[in-house]
Amino acid sequence: MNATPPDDRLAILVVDDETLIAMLLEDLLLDLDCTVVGPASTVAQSLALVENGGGTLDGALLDINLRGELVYPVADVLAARGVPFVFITGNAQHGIDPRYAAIPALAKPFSNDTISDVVESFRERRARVGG
Amino acid sequence: MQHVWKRHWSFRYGVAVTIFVLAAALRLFLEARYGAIPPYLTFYPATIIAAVVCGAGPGVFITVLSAAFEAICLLEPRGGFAIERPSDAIALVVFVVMGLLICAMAGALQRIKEREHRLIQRALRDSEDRYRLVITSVKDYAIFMLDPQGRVATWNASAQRIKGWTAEEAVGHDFSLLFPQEVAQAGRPLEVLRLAAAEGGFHEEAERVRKDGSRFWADVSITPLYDESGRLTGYANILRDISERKQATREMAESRSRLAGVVDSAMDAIITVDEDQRIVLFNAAAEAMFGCPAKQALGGPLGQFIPPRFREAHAGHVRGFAETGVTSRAMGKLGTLYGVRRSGKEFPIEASISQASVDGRKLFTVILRDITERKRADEHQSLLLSELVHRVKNTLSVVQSIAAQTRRSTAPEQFYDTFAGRLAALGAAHDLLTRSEWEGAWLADVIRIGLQPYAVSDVAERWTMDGPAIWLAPNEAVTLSLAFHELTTNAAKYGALSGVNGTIAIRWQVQPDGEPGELAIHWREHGGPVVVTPSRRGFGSRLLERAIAHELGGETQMHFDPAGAQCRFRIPLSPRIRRQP
Repeated sequence: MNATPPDDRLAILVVDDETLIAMLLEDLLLDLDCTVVGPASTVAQSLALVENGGGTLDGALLDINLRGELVYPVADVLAARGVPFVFITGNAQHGIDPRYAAIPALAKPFSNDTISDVVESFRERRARVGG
Repeated sequence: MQHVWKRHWSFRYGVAVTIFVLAAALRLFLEARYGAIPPYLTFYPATIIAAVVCGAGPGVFITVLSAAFEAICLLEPRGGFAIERPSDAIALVVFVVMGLLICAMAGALQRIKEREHRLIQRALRDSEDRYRLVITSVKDYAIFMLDPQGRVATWNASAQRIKGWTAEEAVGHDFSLLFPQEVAQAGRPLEVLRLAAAEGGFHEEAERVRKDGSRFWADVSITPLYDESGRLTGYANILRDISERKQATREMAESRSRLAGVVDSAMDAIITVDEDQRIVLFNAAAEAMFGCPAKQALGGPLGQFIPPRFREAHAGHVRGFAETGVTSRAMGKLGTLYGVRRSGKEFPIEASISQASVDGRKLFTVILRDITERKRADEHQSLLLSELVHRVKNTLSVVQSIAAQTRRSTAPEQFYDTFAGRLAALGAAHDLLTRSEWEGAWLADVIRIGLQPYAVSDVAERWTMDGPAIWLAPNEAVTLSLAFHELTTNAAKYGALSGVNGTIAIRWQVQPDGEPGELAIHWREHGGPVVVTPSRRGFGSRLLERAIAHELGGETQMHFDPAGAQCRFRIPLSPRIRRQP
């Protein structure tokens, strides 16, 4: 967790209650030249990170179910701030909140390519928005 | 007495001649006594009597005989047929004409009487024939007469068929032989007759016996018979064998009580309603299901047990069902049905309906099952399934992560062993959780499964542990299992378990300062090779630090004391890590 990421690195919030999965995501993101914000394992931690991270977040990977707590409050804040995000879910069949039907949901377990595609889409988004 | 005119002609003529002789004698007697009397005086009545009594033929014969006798023997001159005076001639002619007329009338009268007689005879014969035919041909009714003393007087074919005795065997016997012995001995036969005479008739359904001794149920009617003077002449008995009807009645009663037993002991609610949806049957299960005693439900509308919003539609469905004429079908094809208890609480039901027509009255029977429990179980099952899918996917991700981490931190030749060891630790943690149906696991068990392979050495117990009972939620149990697996593996490679004398002591306690308290675990190795601080951090220490910090919100301190490695965890207690399960 670098305190001040260089400008060309994407700052990506990782929210997952499972340490090993968070570690995996962290490693994958580091390999993709990203800076990991978090990982957070609860909604409260996530919201605190979003607040502190200010406008510097370039994307987020959100596990939907955090020990029975749903991640949607975090998604709401991110959506309000215009930060792109994707969901991670263990059970794709289990409905995602219809409000976020348009948001991609990555099914566990995920491949490296899936994550790199997501990061690529975050990068394009930053290029488009940030100029 | 037989009429004279029906007798042989010689008899009739004999009688006629006798009448003539009497008339002639009377004629002569009167003449001798009183002198001249009017001619034919006694012959007129003689002719009439002869014609009426003996018939037209003898009448004519007497007329001619009388005329000849009067003319020849009595009129002057006597002894020869000589009519000298015109008055004599007129008298003769008048007598003959009158006589012949009387005879003609008598003949006509006789013919009329004969015809009438024939008709009456035939009618009588016909009526008797019919009566006999009825009595003998009545199949199901034994009809027999008793004399005033109760002895059998007549016995028809059905009586023989029903009771077994032939007419010859029965007639003359006291009818008490038709009664069961104990009933006969109690004086019932005479009582029956007495009642029949007193009431003008008697009727009962009672047991009777057959000739072979078998008993049967009979419908008995006894009517006393009287002659014109009011004297009792006997009794007419009509008896019918109603054993089959009795049997049918008994079977129906049995079947009804059996059905009642089934209905009352059924686990499902059974409700029958009439065409107006009024409840006519409400069994015990229905009472329990709707919380309403049958007494209060009967006669009331079915609608009271249907949630208001479904009542209209339900009535429509029942009407539609009635029109189909189908005898039974399951309900609720269009969705879950609901009932409403007396308390107002709705509950899901499964129902089937059947209809039957009794005397043009339609009855609908609904069989209901409260499926609250089943629905709950179904929901629980689908929840479990969904959780299982989630858990499997999550576990695959964990495995994926372990593989990735292992590859990063391990030399390729050690990869397989290390990876397999970590998977085994994961598997052991799952086993532990399966035992509690994934409710959680004890901290002591989590530590033990990692150290189990090193339980015993040649010299001493290799490890000890001590601490209060701490319950871990599933994810926490898996994470700590993997953490302790790493500590154990390190100890086996470089630390206390690598030699033969080393030991490990694990102590934990809950520090009560502050709420909700903190779990402090101290892992301390002793007696192993001299410890050197590792040059780079491996997966194990990274996992320990990260897992404890990230997932459990605690902190880890590794201390590589040359005398033995030490590790301290401080983890805040929470509902997921707590003192009691």
